[in-house]
Amino acid sequence: MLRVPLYFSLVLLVVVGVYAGARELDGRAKLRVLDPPLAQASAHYVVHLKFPPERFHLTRMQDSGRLIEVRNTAVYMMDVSPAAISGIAREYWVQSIERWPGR
Amino acid sequence: MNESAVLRSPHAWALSRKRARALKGALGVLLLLFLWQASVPMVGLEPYFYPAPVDVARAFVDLCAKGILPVYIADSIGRYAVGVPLGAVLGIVAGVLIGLNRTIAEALSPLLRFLFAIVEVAWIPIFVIWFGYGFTTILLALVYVVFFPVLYNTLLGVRTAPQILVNALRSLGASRWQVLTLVILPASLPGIITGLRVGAGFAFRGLVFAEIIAAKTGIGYLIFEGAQTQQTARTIVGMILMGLMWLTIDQFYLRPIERATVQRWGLTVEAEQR
Repeated sequence: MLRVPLYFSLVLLVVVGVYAGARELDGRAKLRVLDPPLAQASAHYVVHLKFPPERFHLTRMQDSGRLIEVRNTAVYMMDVSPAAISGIAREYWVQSIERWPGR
Repeated sequence: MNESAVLRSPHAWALSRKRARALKGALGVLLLLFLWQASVPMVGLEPYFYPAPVDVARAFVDLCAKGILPVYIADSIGRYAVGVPLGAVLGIVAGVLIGLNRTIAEALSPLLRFLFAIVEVAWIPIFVIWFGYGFTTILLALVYVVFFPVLYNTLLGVRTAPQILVNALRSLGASRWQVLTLVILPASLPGIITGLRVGAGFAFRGLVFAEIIAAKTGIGYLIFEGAQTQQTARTIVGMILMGLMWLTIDQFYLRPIERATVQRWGLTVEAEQR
């Protein structure tokens, strides 16, 4: 009788696992092309989105570092830790990331 | 009735009846969507005032593409998944403990009825003052919503457990624990499950209210934000998701749990047979 909740939970877990795995691979691919490569300490970045950001995306960015400026689909950020930029890179709505000398 | 119908097994009958019911349900939804879409040009209002199903579908795709919906759904499910079991466990424990003592049950009954009548929306501003915006406030609202229906129904189940069975077990030298586990809890099970289903349903209401007031993510927040920013299609996406989430939880968790517990003891009949 409890097979239905069990199987449904397993299916959900598999879906979430596949989604998390795909996010991880996508994030690594975006960070691999960084030039200069991913810094060990906090650095400045330009995050290119696939669309102009909404409040949701800006809030997400603000949680990860100092949000300096938004120009169309590009979000300029300073003092972003390696862990935070890795988290941003995993978001599928992020097109690409590049290093930025900052202001 | 033709010959092939007579030869069909009860299982096959139940299956075909389920399929027929699902088909009718799907037809009902399609009819609603058709009437809704057809009414849009007749009403002739702006999409932000009266969006068409196509606008809602477009908003759904847009929310998914922008990564908003997965986060909001995950946040809402996470809050629900923590709040509902917590409220249910507290409600069951409190219901059993109160129900086991007639004096305590009678003393607390008016107070419990009084607190049950105060809807969670009234508590949320107080919770915000005490705990601020965020997870704790939402969690408390959910626990509150689930706690009282579960407690009340558990209490009722414990108080109405067949006394003749309790006496019989006692006369055979059973301990209090044995009386509790062999008679009172099984007898309370229909009440507990009823309370759980009512509480789990109410919890969605509580979740929406709590997320509107105390959160910046979640399906409730999406409903509120969509209306605030005149993106009504997004609000409707949130409403539809709420309904779908409830149907999923009911279909894949609550009903099977009900069947596996209550109906196993033969204390009730399957909902489909009613």
